Parts: sequence; structure tokens; C-alpha cells
Amino acid sequence: MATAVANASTGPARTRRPKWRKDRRRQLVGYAVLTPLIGFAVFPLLWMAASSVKTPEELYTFPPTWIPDGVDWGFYRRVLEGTQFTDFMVNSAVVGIGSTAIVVVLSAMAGFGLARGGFPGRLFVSRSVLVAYVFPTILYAIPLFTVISGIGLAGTYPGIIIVHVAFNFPFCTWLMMQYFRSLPKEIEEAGRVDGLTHMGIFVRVAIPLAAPGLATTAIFGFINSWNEFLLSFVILGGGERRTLPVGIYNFVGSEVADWGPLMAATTLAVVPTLVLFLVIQRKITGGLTGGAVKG
Amino acid sequence: MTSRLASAERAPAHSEEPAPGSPGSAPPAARPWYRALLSWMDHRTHLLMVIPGVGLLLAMVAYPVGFNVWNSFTDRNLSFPTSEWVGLANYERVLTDAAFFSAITRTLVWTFSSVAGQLLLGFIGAVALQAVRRGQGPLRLGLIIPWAFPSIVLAYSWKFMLDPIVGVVNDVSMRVGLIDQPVAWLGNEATAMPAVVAMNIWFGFPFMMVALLAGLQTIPVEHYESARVDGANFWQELRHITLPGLRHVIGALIVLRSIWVFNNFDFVYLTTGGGPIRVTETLPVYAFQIGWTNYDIGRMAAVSVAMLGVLVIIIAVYLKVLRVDKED
Repeated sequence: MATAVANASTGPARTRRPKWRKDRRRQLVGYAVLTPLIGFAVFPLLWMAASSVKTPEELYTFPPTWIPDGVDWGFYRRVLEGTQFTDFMVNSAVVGIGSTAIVVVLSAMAGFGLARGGFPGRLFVSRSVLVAYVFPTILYAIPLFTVISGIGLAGTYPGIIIVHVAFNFPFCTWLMMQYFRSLPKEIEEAGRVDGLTHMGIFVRVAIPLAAPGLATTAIFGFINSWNEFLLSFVILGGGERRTLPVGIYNFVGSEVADWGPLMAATTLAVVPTLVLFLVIQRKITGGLTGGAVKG
Repeated sequence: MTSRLASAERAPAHSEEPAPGSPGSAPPAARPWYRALLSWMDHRTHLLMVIPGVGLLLAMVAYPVGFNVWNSFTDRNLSFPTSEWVGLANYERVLTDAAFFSAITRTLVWTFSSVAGQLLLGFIGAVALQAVRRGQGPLRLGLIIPWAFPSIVLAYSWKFMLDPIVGVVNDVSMRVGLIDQPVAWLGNEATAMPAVVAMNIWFGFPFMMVALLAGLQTIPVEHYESARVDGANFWQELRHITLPGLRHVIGALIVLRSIWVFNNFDFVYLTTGGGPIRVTETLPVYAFQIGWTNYDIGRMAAVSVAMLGVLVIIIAVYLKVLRVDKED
């Protein structure tokens, strides 16, 4: 499925023999169907962003105003200056970058080993990795907490980083395995003939060739870590090392939510993802749909 | 040279092993001991490279899951240091808990209605986008972006829209005359589950749309052309060409999405927390409440094992019904 999506985005659509009137009518119906669907898809997040720049008076009126009267950064100021939001953001960045750096190395090694190795049990291992990928987090989150707190790492950077590495490893390995398989074997074989060890081939031949795959894997690893809620919530609790999703969750103390700062916080939380999206625009659709990730 | 390429054998390894009977070469035993070790490792490089990551996975996922199964036979509780073997008592408690069975029902409702809604909207969107044939690239990218956003952002943007006091959904519903006075969508027993499902459909349908669009583009254009020559209308094309052509994609999508939606903890927990009065308490939330809120690890473990059983049944039923594992 991954390759189907990826190919579809690159291959030009074949032109259909024109049957103008029929096609024209279908196109109009298509537009009529698509417009509300697109509206439905984009509205909630646009509404979130629009509400975050309203003034408190404007936000807490009913019925709400559809277009903000002006841009007011008050909620953002309150979030950035009045709360620990920046601490959470730093925590998330540290955890995201740290766990991504480790998981990229581990998954590149494992992906290469699984793609090129012929050792017994290879199929079993690659299948187990895929099963681990669809395994419900809730089934190991709390026992994992007892393990992590048992070695004294609950509520610390190393603790959550190691958990996020394990959490990300199956998907990243799967991505890297696919990528290494798509590389021509002949180059590596030539390297072998020239006297390289298998490790030498991996470091000097395969890794440079797989650089785009590594970048994609790193971005997905980071996004997954940035977004992850349940494991961080269990491992970090209400401590100082809370990542952004856990921190935002704690903003809502009681039933009554302070929507203004909350909408500013959630809008800020998607900025890194948006930036990364702009970086890898084209590859992202294939990768995202490829694993039918999360949700 | 070609034979060497094919066997991909390392060149120095050859040169170190002298041809049998060639005079004047050193015996193999004279090689330094570490050479043998290095060569042994070199032959197992691939296996050795897989070990660190898989080892971590075993320690961080497999061990806790096994620990969980063990726990399900004990009275382990986060607030007490010791635990005792209690046999099947946890399972007995779980299986006699009415909340467990209603959680299963709710999870099935949540999973089926979410996936069905996502698939339906996604399919309509894909067919429409295929007919329009314009802006497919940007739309595909633009609509899929929220897929990569933190679940808390998605959940809270909906919670805000559905807010009983300032929510925009109330405003729109009152304008079009759907309701007379503001409704607490997520706080009302009758509307909480439909509201969370609506949110999940919103989250998932663009993904279905993109995947189905890719599937649509693999159906040969000739099939449609010959159908048109035969005078087929839109619905006949849909019934006899599009749907059969997409069968495998749809099958795979349903299985994968069902597993994810079934497992989904974040959306329900972050919007309603399982409330009001448990009407949205799906199995993951139920397990979490017992294990984390009540610290009752033993009982939670029993729930987890039961949940795994339900998951296996769902996957098996789907595979059977859709025959995704079978080729034409």
C-alpha cells in the first residue's frame, strides 16, 4: 500500500479520452461534494487558530464571532509568560531529539540487518516488529511504568527517552527496512569484492545511499515522539520533565477550561510539525499512509 | 570477476585462504586470534545489528506484556509493595463486572461506527476528487497534515467547538434550528458517544480518502472507457468497476484502521475521560482507569489480557469476512 501511494503521487495521471459533457457534469458534482468535505476537514483547526488571536471579551461571548475583530496576542503572552509552556516545549524538544537520534541509529542497523541478512529467524523477527507496531500501547504502558520506576528512571529524561525509542523502533525499523530493500544490491556487493567488511559496507556504502530514508525516518520519529501522550503521561506524571501533550493536558485542571490560552497553546504545539511538513512535503504522504500510522 | 560479484565474497578472505597445495603459505593457525573473532563477527554482522534494537523492544514491550500476564494472576497494586498469587480471581472479578461487558459493547460501537464513517466519507471524497481531477496534490497534502498533529491538539480543538458555553457547534445548530438551547455535547449521556465518533471520523476520513485515491488511480482507465462505450452510468461504473477494483485496498484499510481505532486511548480519554457516567468508556479507557486511577495492576492486567483476546477475534473475523489474505 505504501508503494501504491508513493507511486501515485509521482506518476502522472493518464489522460482520459474526452467525453466533454459527461465529464463536465461529473466535475461539477465533484466540486459540490468536495467543498463541504474540505470545509469539514479544515474547520476545527482553523477555528482553533482564529480563536487563539481573539481578545478575552470576544472569545467568551456567545454566539461567537466568525471572523476575529483583530489580531490580539494576549493569549499567547499569557501562555508563554504566565505558564510553564516554554519548559514543556523544551522538554518535548529534548526528548524528541534525543530519542530520535537513538532510534534512527538502532532502526537503521536493524533495518539493514533485516533487509540484507540471511540469518535464521529473520522473517520471525521482522514479523514480530510489525506486530509490536500495532500492539496497543495501553497493554504495556502501566507495567512499563513499574519497570522504569524500578530502575529509578521515572520522571527523568533518560527514562522517557528510552521509552520513546522503544515506542518508535518498530515503525522506524519498518521504514528503514523498506528503504534498504529499495537500494540496488550490486553496489554493496561491489564494496564486498573491494574488501569491505559487512560493517564497512553498512557505514560507507549503505548509509550514504540511504540518507533520504534516514531523514524521513528521523522526521517521523521526531513527530511521533512529539505527539506521544499516554506513555509520557504515565512515565512523567506531573513532574518537571513533562512533555508538551502532558503539560497541555494538565492546563485543564477542572471541568471549566480556560479556552483562550489553551487554544494558543495547542496552536503553538503544531508549529514544529508544520515546519517539518514544509521540509519534506512530498515524501510525507507516502510515509504517513504507508504504515497507516497511529490514531 | 563476475563469479566474485555473484558470490559477493570478501576479497581479502580469499587471499588469506591459500589455494590448497600452494607452497610456502603460512598455515591458518598462525593468524592472530582476533582475526578469527573479527571474521566470525563479520559473518554475523546482520544478526548482530538487529540485536540492540530488538533487545530494547523485548525489554520495553515484551517484558512488560509478559509481566502483565503474570500480574493478572496476582493482587499487585501500585499502593502496596508486595503481591500474592491469587489464581484466576482477577479474571473472575473482571468477567463478573458488568462495566467490562458494556465497555466491550461501547468499544465495538466506537470502532465500527468510526471506521464505517471514515471509510464512507473517505470514499465519497476520493471519488469526487478523482472526478474533479484538479488540485489533487495540494489537497492530498493539506488534508493529511492534521494526521501528524498531537492527539491532544485534535481533541481540544473539538472540545472547544463542542463547549456548552462558547462552542461554535451550538451556535450553528441553533441557527439552523437543530436545537433550541445550548447543548453540552460531551457532557450529555445521549450525545457524548456520537460527538467523539464524529471527531474520530473527522480525524480519519482524509487518510482514507488519500489511500483510496491512490487505489482508484491503479484501476486501468480502459475499464471505464469500455464501460462507457457500453453505455454504463455512474452507479454501474461504481458498482462493477470501482468497488471491485478497490476491494483489496478497502479490506486492508478496514483491518488496519479498526485495529488502531480499537486501541485508541487518547481521543476518548482527552475529550470525555470515559464520561459522562461511563457512556464513552471504551476498553482502553476502562483498563487505564482500573490500573492507573485505582492502582489495581492485577485487575488491569486481567482486563488487558481479555482485551487482547477481543482484538484477536476482531482481526480474525475481519480477515474471514473480507478475505483480504486471499488472492482473487
